[in-house]
Amino acid sequence: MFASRLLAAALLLAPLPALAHHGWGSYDAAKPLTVDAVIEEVELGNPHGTLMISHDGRKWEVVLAPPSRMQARGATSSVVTKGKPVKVYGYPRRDGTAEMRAEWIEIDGRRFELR
Amino acid sequence: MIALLEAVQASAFAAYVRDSVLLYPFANVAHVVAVMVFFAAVAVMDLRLLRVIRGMPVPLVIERLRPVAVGALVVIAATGLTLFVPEAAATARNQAFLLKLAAIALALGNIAVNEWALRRDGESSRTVQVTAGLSLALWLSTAALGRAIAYV
Repeated sequence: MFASRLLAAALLLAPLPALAHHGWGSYDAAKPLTVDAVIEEVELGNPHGTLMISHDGRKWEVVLAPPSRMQARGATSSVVTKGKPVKVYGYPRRDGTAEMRAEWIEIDGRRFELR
Repeated sequence: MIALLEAVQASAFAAYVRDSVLLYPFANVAHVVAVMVFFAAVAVMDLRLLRVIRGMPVPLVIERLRPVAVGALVVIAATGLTLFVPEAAATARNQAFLLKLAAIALALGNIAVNEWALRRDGESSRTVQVTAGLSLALWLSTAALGRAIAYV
């Protein structure tokens, strides 16, 4: 009884402010973006890495893969560095936040698949 | 509280976990596997109390399975802390995480009540039966809320 109330509460609260952004479902795969930009900030940590880039006058957060996958694909911290040009192909958040999930990124002429 | 969590997040251990290629995914996998072991042990004890499973006497079932549950809980706590630390401040604001902590607190309190009633009134008492059922519901809710952390 109490547990079902707790679950009901969890379901009610779920649509409130989204702090996290997991899976591919919250991104709109029907509106892919290809952006040429410069890496303004980079963090390659768990649970997943992020880049900051400028696009259309806004600062975008680009969600990358976890360090284990980044490393497996060769996108190490010596490759993905601040100040480098980057091409990002990804999908924007459905809710309009300036955030995209990267399907792949290109740095130094190499493409890194991140899914 | 927020300052403390930000200090935790800025610690050397947090930085180590955040940048780890193996530790974080290992903790992630071990956490889930330990949850399965924990719930298997808990479910057998609860289902025995509820007489869905019969045969072996209740004290013997508890004697055999409680160490399994406690051991798994230690692994769950250690790996859970490892997963929490790199994003301590953000996770502490996560509604699913807060509900999960509440569910754990209720589930642990529920064990105490169950144990107390079992000693005082015996295994067929109403309190023991109700808390055995609650135990199943609360631990399953805890697991569900844990998975929900990544999505809210």
